[in-house]
Amino acid sequence: MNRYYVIAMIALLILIIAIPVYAWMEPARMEQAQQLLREKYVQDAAVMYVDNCALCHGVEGEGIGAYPPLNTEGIREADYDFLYKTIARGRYNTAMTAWHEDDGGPFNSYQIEELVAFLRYVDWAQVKEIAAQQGVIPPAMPVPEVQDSFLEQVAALGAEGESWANGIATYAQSCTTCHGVNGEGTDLAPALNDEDTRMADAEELARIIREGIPGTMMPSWDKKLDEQTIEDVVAFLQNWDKINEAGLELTPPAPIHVDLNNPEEVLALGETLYANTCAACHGENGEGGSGPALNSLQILTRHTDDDLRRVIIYGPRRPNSIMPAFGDRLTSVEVDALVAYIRSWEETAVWVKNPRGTEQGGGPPWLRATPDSNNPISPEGNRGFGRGRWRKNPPPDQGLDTQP
Amino acid sequence: MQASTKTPSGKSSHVSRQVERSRMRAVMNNIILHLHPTRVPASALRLTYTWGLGGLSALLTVILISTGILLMFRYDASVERAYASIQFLETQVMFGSLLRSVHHWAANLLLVTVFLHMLRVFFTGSYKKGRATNWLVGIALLLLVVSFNFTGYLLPWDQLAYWAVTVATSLLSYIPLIGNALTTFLLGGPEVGQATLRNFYAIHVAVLPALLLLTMSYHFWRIRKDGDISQPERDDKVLKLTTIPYLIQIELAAAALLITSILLWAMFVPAPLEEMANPAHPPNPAKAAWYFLGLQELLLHMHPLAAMMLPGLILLGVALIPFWDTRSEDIGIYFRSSTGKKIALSAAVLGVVLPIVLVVLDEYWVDFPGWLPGLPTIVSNGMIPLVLTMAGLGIIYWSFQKLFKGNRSESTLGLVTFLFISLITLTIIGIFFRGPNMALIWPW
Repeated sequence: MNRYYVIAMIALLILIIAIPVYAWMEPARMEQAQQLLREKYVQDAAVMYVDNCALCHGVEGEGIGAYPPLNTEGIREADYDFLYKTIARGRYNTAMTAWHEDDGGPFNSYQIEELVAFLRYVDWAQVKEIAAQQGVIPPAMPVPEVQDSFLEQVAALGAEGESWANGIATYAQSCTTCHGVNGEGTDLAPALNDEDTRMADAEELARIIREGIPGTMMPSWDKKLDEQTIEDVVAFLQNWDKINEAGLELTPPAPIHVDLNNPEEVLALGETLYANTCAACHGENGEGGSGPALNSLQILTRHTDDDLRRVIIYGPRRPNSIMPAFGDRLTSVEVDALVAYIRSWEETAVWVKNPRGTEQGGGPPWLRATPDSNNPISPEGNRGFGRGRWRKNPPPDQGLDTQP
Repeated sequence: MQASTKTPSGKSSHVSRQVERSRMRAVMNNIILHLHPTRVPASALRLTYTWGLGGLSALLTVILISTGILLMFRYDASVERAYASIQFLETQVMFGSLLRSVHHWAANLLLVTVFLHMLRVFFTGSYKKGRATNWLVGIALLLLVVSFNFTGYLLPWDQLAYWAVTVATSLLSYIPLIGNALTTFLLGGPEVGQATLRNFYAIHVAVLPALLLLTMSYHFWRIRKDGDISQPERDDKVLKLTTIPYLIQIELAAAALLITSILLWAMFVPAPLEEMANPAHPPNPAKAAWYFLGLQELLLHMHPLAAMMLPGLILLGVALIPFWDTRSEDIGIYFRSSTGKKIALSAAVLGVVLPIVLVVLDEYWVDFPGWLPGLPTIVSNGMIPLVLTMAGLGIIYWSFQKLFKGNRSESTLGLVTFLFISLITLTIIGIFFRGPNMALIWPW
């Protein structure tokens, strides 16, 4: 037989073997492909959920106020068509609007299928994390966050200021989801920041809040708010224009969209997070306060990114430190952004004589020890703090695991 | 197995089977001998002469047609369902993923084999001695294959498909006078959408296959008419071997190898499928299909009109080669002569170096619109670079004639080699060295 026939025979033989083997593995491959597809649908839908649904149903599907929770077995096991139609066409006489583009919504059929898959397969505790990994940071609160300084400014506006401040705080917490962050009204409820409301009889407004309006979504609040608070809300509603004239407005919560491939955006996210979360103790520019100065050459050169990550997630190793562990509150994306922001100081960081604020980092070594044998800086461990030795040999139970 | 049928003569079926076999063989041989001559020169059987590229391309076409027909059974050419129908194919249909994979890789490989086939024909001067028509038919086939690939690219309706087609069709609107009308006609509207998907689908599965089969048949017929495979002119009598089995056994082995390797490759490397097309989120960089990236690279350096005219002029020139280079003495010899080999080698080196130098220069230094602020960009960034490029090509041709003492055939070989290699270089730059915002990057 000449070589051409041999080549052809071998090729044919490989085919004859390869095709049955592929066929034998095909069911497993299809099963795996379906599994991957389900995960992909959940990932895609998590972003849509955070953007569109979380403000009413909660980031973890826990439900907010009158809006039903979604993280229930009932929803998970609900009929596919029921879920699809509810999302696509909305529910009559409720705030649930139609989301399919045929009915005026933003989603096409494919995206609604993704949302249904999301409801059925998602691990609710992971929604924040999934969305963050795709560049959408959910608002920390479903309602606008009200700073104390804001309330003080409101309180300073007049004699009734204290009452207004209490009113706007209550409004921000309980009313913004339907009436709009600045009383502009939404599809669900009328505007309140207008002349009609301000001209209305105060007693009538208080009665509506107490008893609600039957046949609408306005519930009765008398069991949730005490009489004084309701009066405060009415006082605030009737003087909202004065608060606005002073330039004071509530800021609506919104998911932040970050392009994770763009280092500048990640850095900006880190800066925001640092200002909200860390600056109170570590100083606005990392110059230190009740916490150590992070913007110091010693700390930045002696700690790797993984060290910073570990401290943020699990809290510091230093005994008696008051720094909490942030692992449960921040997603891995946010932690990385924070680390990137802190790391960005390294180039310009100066040598701070005493970054921890106390001489020699909290007293002589023999006084820093606590009666804890697991304490990495106990004298027996011979591990001085700040010398970087514990980093090289982390104890097995505290091995590097950046996932919160 | 004892056949019960009797032949009309009443002989036993054993004899009749033998008769049947020899009849079948006669029919089969007839088919083969329609495509091939009865005897072929022994020297033409060398694999290193043709590399079997034409035959492989034909086989790939058969593979593409058969897998394509099977894909049509589950594919749904609507914006809403196209992507989902592919997900269905991948997860619910036995061999569905393999089928798509084979189609995908065979299509990409076909582009490579037809391009290499064209290079082979060019390097051996096989467009000479009455083969000009078939050279033109071959160029038409190349364009058909590119159109096939381009229309098929959109069908999965994923991000890659949507943006590659958006980028490529936006080029068409720069064609003078008819550009906008042509784009609107092709897209079925102002932008890529449902009508585009339907148009591309119809073109991909009906219009182009019909054209391709007709053109291919003519291409094959023409080879026989033009005196079969090109061979050097020789005075002595050439040794000829019978097609069956000497040519057929090589083709059999090549076909078996190709089918097996494509299938194995497709089993291990599934066809890619990106996110569903989303008109609101362009990827960065938004690149055309890989085989257009050489042209997209030109766009970064020239006004779109010039960037369209340059390849158009070059394609026209390539089509006209048989009428310019009519020296028939060197037909069938790779690179014509030893002078031709030197010229082709230096042209290839130039084709690698010069585009890289020019791309880097233009990226960081050359700035015609900035230097000539008074002129409209179509002149400063369009006509000036175009004229300079054409002049550069003229200088390259002239220097091959002067420096290497090349004749017309050898100098043409050099110029066209330079163009082909430049296209490959630009394509590689486009694929690997262009990052976000199409800035030059170092890929590793």
